[in-house]
Amino acid sequence: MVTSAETTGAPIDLVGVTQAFRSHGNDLLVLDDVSISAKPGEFVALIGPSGSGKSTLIRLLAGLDKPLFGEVYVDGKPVTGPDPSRALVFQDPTLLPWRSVRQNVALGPQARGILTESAQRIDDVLELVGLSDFAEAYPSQISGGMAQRTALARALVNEPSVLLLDEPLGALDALTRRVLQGELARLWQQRGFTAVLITHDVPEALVLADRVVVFSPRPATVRDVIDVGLPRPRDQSSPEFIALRDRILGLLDAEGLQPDDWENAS
Amino acid sequence: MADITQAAPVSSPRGDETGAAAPVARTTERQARIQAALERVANPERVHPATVGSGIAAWLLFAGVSQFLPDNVDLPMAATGSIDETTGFVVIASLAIAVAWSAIWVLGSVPGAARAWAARHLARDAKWVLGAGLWFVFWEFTTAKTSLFAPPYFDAPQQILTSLWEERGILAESLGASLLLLAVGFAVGLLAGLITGVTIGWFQAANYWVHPILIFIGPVPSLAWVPIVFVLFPTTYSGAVFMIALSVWFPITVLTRAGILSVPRSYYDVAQTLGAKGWFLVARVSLPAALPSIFTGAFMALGASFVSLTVAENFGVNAGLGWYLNYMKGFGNYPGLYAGIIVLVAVCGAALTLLFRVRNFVLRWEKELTRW
Repeated sequence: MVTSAETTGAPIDLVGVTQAFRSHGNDLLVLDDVSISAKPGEFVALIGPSGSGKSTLIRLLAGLDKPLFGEVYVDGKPVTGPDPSRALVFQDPTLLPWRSVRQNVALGPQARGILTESAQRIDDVLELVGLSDFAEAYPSQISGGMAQRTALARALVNEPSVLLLDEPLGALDALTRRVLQGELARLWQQRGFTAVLITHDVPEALVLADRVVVFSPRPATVRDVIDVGLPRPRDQSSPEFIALRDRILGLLDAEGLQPDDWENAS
Repeated sequence: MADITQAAPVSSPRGDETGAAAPVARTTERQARIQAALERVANPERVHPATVGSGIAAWLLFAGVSQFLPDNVDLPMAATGSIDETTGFVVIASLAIAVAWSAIWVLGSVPGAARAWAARHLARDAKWVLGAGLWFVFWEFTTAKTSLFAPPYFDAPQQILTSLWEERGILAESLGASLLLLAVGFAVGLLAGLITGVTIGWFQAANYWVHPILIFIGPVPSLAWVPIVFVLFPTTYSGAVFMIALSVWFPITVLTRAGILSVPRSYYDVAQTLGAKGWFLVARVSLPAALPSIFTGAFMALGASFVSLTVAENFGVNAGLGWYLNYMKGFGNYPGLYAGIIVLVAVCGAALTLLFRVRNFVLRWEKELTRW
């Protein structure tokens, strides 16, 4: 078990964020004046139709892109570039194939020049995600679920104050998905980081999040924000859970919106 | 990743020896069955006694033909009697091969530590041993014994062996000179190619200037540079190094650049969100990701470097195997020429094998690595 001090989550504020791209001569407005905030240690889920700019938003939060207009604040400071305190987990685990599981997890500490002092922390986080026995395996030798756990461990070893999850469980089978949902909830409660989760799975959003933000189709605007407010661990068969699920599905259905299937996911 | 062969229950914590003995015995028996089945699946090759036996027979036949058939009297060596000494060596060598192959056959048939090793070679090499034996019988018969293929352009195994022995001093010297020149040229070209490839793969401004030059200068055959290089360079040796390095630099640069440009953007995204910057991204993300492509370039470069090496040795540097071949040709010494070619073949094969070994080790993480 990890005994390190709990990291406190950082607050997130997006103020009037607008993002557009020009590709093949077409100008594409992706995010239109979006304002969202998250309290320290809060778990926020973003749900919306395909191409509605959710991944664009998470890239802005990670500092990988800059918005056209508007401000992105994390922990009260404007985001100017990527930083290990804001860890990102993609749908594709994107492990570096020439590095073993352990070396992939060690990437952050190594990049920041604190590899030797982090040895214990790396072992701890591998244990936390249940991969101690596979530390020396190469990514080509492990299953999709293990690869995604490795990606999670790689993010968590840096003790981030914000964890950005871009459909992290989208490509996994239903069984592995359920197991990892439970583990995500446990890690979030244990570590206390602020979490932003993009998902297409309405029950998944409701199992994990404090609040669910529903997006409109492109250009994305915030359609509705739903406070979940159910006790944890959440019972998917409770009437309250089903009522919330139907309400969100209704919102997505209302304007012919369907949560995207992952073939079209960007 | 569980190793089924080690899944046996260890010991009974209660010291219940009699109760534990039966399951343990059953497990080992089962393990043995699983291992035997796996062995059949993993090594589907079979030892064919007829092929192995024919292989032994072919080498014995070679020894017999060399020893007992009379030599063609027109053979230059026959007159001097020098062929007899070499024939003795050929007979002993072919008998040794027949004996060694028989010993491997025995090792592969009786239980023992070396059985798996021997069985693998018996299954894999049998056809080559037979084929090589038959080739030598044919070669010996058509040259030394009957002169169906006549000297000087066709020579008997004994003649080439004699040349290898007689010219051993100059051959060793040439081999050393060639290896040194090849190593220096290849190292310089590899380093320059990696630096150029990484630079133009990373910096658009460098790519703008260097890429067009690369595309036009790189494909020019090294032979075309000979008149200029050996005039411009202070010594012929540095000119030769330049020629080899140039032919190595081109494929390495092109494929390093291509490898770096094809690195998925998500690798950089991940590394950057984890705090990686600048040189770390180059050394720890770009270069390893580009390595499969760089190795493809290295194979092309190795082939090109052999060409440049022989060209440089013929036209400037008066040493090395390329020069030796030309020198022997000048004397019309065809057995000596063949001896030089045999050494050159061995060098090229060894260099290529070494590169494959290095590649297979460095890229051992690749899932479906193509092995040669």
